Amino acid sequence: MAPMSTRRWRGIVAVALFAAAVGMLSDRPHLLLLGVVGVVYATYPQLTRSPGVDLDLERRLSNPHPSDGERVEVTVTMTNTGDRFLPDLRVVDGVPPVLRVVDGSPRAGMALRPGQRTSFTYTVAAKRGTHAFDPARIVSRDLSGAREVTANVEADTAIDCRYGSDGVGLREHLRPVLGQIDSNRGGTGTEFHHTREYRHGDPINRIDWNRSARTGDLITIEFQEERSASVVLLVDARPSAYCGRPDQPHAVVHNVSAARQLLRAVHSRRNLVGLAGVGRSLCWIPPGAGTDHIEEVERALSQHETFAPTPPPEDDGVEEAFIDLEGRLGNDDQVIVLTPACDDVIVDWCLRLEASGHQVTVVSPDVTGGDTAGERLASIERNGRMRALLRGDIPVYEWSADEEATSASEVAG
Amino acid sequence: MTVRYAPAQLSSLVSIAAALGVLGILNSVAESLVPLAVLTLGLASVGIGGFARRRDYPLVGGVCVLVGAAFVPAALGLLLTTGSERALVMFLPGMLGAFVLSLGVFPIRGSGSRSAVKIGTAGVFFSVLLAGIYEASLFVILLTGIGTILAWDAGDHAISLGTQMGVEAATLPVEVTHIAGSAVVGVLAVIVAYGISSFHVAEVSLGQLIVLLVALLFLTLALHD
Repeated sequence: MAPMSTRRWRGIVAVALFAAAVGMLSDRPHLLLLGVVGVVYATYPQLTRSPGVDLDLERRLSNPHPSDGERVEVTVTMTNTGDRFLPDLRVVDGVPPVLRVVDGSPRAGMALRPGQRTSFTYTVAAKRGTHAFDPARIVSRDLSGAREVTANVEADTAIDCRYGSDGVGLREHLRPVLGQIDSNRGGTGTEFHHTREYRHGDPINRIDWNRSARTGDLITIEFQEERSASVVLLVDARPSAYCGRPDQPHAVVHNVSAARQLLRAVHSRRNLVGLAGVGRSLCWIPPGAGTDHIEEVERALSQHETFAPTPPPEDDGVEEAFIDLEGRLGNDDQVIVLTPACDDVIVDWCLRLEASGHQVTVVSPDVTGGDTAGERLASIERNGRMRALLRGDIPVYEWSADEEATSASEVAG
Repeated sequence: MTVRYAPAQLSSLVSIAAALGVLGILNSVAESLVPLAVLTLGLASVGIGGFARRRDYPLVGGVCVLVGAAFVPAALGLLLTTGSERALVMFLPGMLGAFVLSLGVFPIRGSGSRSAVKIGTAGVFFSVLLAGIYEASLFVILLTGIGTILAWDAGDHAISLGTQMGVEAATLPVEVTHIAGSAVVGVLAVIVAYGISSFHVAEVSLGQLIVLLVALLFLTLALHD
C-alpha cells in the first residue's frame, strides 16, 4: 500500500517566505536566515525514509478457555520484521466486538528498530461463546510525520467460552481430564512420587485441555453443583496390569499416580470418594469425605500391599475379589477404573459394572510401545479393548506415558 | 469502557514548554520577567487542568482552565504598566499566542484543536519576527524560531496521536522519537543558517538580496508538498 501524504509540513514554506519577506522589507538579514530555517524544515520530509509495515503480530491470552465473565489478559507483541526503522507506529488491536475492555488499552504507540519487539497488555471480560479476534489495525508514519501508511496485521486468536452449567445426568458431568501427570519421575522402586497440589480457585464448571497440558495443572473435573456424586477409584493391580515397556515405570505406578490426582480433584468438588484395589488382595475404602478420609486413602495408595511396586505371584482369587467388590458398591456409586487394559478380563468387568447400573469411566495409561512386533501386537489388542468399552457406552480417557506427551484425551468413539 | 480522546500528554507539555521557552529567551531583547512569570503560572494551571481532564475529572480540569485564563489578562496588564513600549509590542502576540496554544492542547474542544495550535504558534512567531525587527542577535532569532516550530510540531503530533490512540494508550516511545527527530533537524537548521550567515549577508546589496529571495522562492516552491 502506497504511503499517503499528511501534508502537515505544508505551511512551513509559506512561513519561511513570510519571514524572509519581513526580513527583506525591514532590512533585517537575520530574519532572512530564519527563512532558511523554514526551508530546512521544508526539506525534512524528503530526508526521512518512507514508512514501512513489515510487522509480525503475536497475541497471548492468559486463559484461552475462560468461564463467563472471567477476565482474560491479552498480551500483544509486535515485531519489526523489516529492515527499516519504524519511528511512529500506532497499533489498534482487533478486540472481538462483543467483548468489553475492562483494563488497559488495546491501542499503543511504539517505535521499533529492525528486529525489535514490544508488547502491551490489556484485559477483556469473557462472554459465553467463541470470539475470534479481528486483525490489528496499524498506522505507520515516517519520522517527520509527513507520510503515513495503514495496514492490517493478523494473528489467529480466539477466546473460547463455551462451557457453562447445564443440568444433565451425573456422568455427563463427570469428565476427568488428566493433566501433565508426572509419570517419568516415578520409578519402579518402592517410592511413589508425590502428586502436585491441586489448585483451588479453578471455577467449578470448566474443562481446560490446553491449560492443564501446558501448565502442568492437575485434573479438573466438572460436576453439577447441586448433586454430589459418590465415586470409587478402582485401581487395577492384578499381575497382568504390571505391564509396560522394558525400562519404563509399569502401569500400576501410573495408575496409582493418577488415582492420587483424581482423588483430590473429585473430593474438592464436594463429592464422596472411595478407593478399591484388586490384585494381591482387595483394598477397599468406602466412599467418604473429609480430610481424615482423604489421608486414609492416600496412605492406602502409598502403603497397601495391593499397590506394591512388584507384581503378585499369581492370579487366583481375583475373580472372587471382583465379586466381593461388586457387592460392596452402593447403588449410586460411580466407578473410575484405572487400568492399562492389557488383558480382556478388565474389559468384561467394566461392561458388567456398567450393565448393573454403576456408571463406569475408564482412565487408561498407554504403556504399549511400537518397537517390536510383540509390542505392536499388544498395542493393537489394546485399541481393540478401547473400542469394546466405547461400544458399551463407557467413556475412555487415554493418556500417554511418554516423555513428551503427557496430556489426556478422550478416545473418540 | 468508552475510549476517551485527548492530545497525547508528553507532546502537549513539550509544546507549551517550547512556547514559554521562546518567550523566555525573548526576555533578553526586552525585559519583562514578571509578566512572563505570571503567564507561566497561568499556563501551568491550564496544563494541570489538562492532566485532570485526561484522568476523567472534567470539572477540576475546567476550573484549572478558568484560573489559568484569569492569569493571562493579569500578565498583559502587568506588561502594559511595567513594561517598555518595545516589550509590550513584542510580547503581546506571543503571550496571547501561547495561551491559545495551551487551549488547543488542553483540549478545549474534542480531541484537541489543530487550528488553535496553528494560531497560537503564529502568535508566538510574530513575537519572534518583532524581536528580529528590534535587532535581536542571530542566535536568539534562530533559537526562538526553531522553538516556535517545535512547539507547533509537538502540539500537532499530540493531537494526531490523541485522535487515533485515545487517552489510555501508551504512546511515549512515539512521542519521544518524533520530538527528537524534529529537534535534530533544528540543530541542522542552525548549522546551515550559521553557515550561510558567514557569507556576510548584511553587507550584500539590495539587488543581490532580491536575487537571493527569488532563488529561495523557487527552492521552496520546488519543495512544496
